[in-house]
Amino acid sequence: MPIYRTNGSSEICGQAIGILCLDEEPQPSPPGAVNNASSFACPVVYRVVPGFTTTKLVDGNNDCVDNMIETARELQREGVQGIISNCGCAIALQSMIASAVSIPVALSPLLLLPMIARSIGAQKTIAVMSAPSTHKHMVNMIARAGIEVANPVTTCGADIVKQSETADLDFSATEASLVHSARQLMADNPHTGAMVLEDGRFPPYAKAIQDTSGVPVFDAITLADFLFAAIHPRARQGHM
Amino acid sequence: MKVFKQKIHRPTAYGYCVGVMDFPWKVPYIPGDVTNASTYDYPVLIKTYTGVDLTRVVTGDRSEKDGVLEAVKDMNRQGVKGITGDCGFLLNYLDEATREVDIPLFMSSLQQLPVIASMIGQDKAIAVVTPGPEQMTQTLLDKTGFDGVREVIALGLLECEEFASKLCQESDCVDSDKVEAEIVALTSQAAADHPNIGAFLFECSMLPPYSKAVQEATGLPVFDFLTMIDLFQKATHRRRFEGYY
Repeated sequence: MPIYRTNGSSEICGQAIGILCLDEEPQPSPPGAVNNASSFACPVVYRVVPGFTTTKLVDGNNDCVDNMIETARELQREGVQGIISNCGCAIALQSMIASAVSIPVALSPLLLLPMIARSIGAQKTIAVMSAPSTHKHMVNMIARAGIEVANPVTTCGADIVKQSETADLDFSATEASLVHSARQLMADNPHTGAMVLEDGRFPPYAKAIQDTSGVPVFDAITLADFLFAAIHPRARQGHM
Repeated sequence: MKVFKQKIHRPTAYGYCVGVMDFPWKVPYIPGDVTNASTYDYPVLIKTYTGVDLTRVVTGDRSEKDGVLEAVKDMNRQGVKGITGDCGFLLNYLDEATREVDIPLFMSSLQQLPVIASMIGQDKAIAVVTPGPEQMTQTLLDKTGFDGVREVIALGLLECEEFASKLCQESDCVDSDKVEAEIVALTSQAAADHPNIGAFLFECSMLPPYSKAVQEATGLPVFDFLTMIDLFQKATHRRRFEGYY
């Protein structure tokens, strides 16, 4: 008979992944976005980290790291088995957060780069799609984070499209815009072997981007699914 | 109207996402094994290539290179979107194989090493469970892009009697309950001896059936062939999200 024990600090059980969230103005998050709980294969719990902003990380300002560590530890105490974030720029803090807790941490899809690189071979290009403000700094950010890939990395800026009169998200216009960027990117870099969507708001458009580019597309959700598969392996109910 | 074009090589059937290269090794491939079709949630094309000797793949013998590359090229012609294989030591031929095709190759569970390393703290170790611990050299691990900062502990399976006598030798029968108990004992002991282990990585393609038991016994994440294959399958076949708002 299985015996279950309380975990001490929280009554809530079964929340597999904790998500460190940007301290920024909330945006509409359709299914697929990191900020939409229904995007995940497992139950997730969100926690906003005071002072965690994209602008700071892009500028190399890591002063939110203490808050980040504190929030990550709090999530671990509450029983989550893995930690991710809703901002790919958090790659800058990946190593510090991973060293501060004893559960696996995967803050950014950019940490998949070394594995993607070897799987397609060094002669092929990896394309990273992110918001226009981030993309100019992308190559620097990857290098600063200590991620080494021999492959050429190309970056591409694309953005969420708001409805003209309101702050509401226009899904179709956003998808069309990202698809346009992806098509341009493939035309400019025909040897692209894989794409990484750095931005946590981009996964809803991954299918359309892949239909256009024809290459594997990785993002924060594929990364979270990968992490979940390792922290909670499932029995395969097959047959011989 | 949506138009579908005939592919150049006209495969027998369409819709296989992942190709699994099976190199001859006569043991029961139980559910959860890389070479058991019912392991997967999606169609995989499993094909046996007799021209490769797995016992030499383990040591990275160059005599097997051409056979592996031919298998990769043949699988690519079948129209799959990515290729895996049934031995972690296929890593020995990964770099050369990627030059032959335009689809991703995830032939070795060890390819996950650099990602696992960055997911755990710098003072943590990765325990690689493998029948060939003495082959787990820095030269081999370098082929994954692993930076060598984290400690790697190679845990050999030869002391696991059922595994070693039935699966490391060709045998027509295996007791998977016995294998599970052996592997749980091995990994639990390792976690007790090395409290800095942050994750397990199962090199062998026959080990995924035991990942769940090891994770439950040790509380540590377990990466295996299937965590990698599922990741690449999802990335090569993106779906529309059907959540809610």
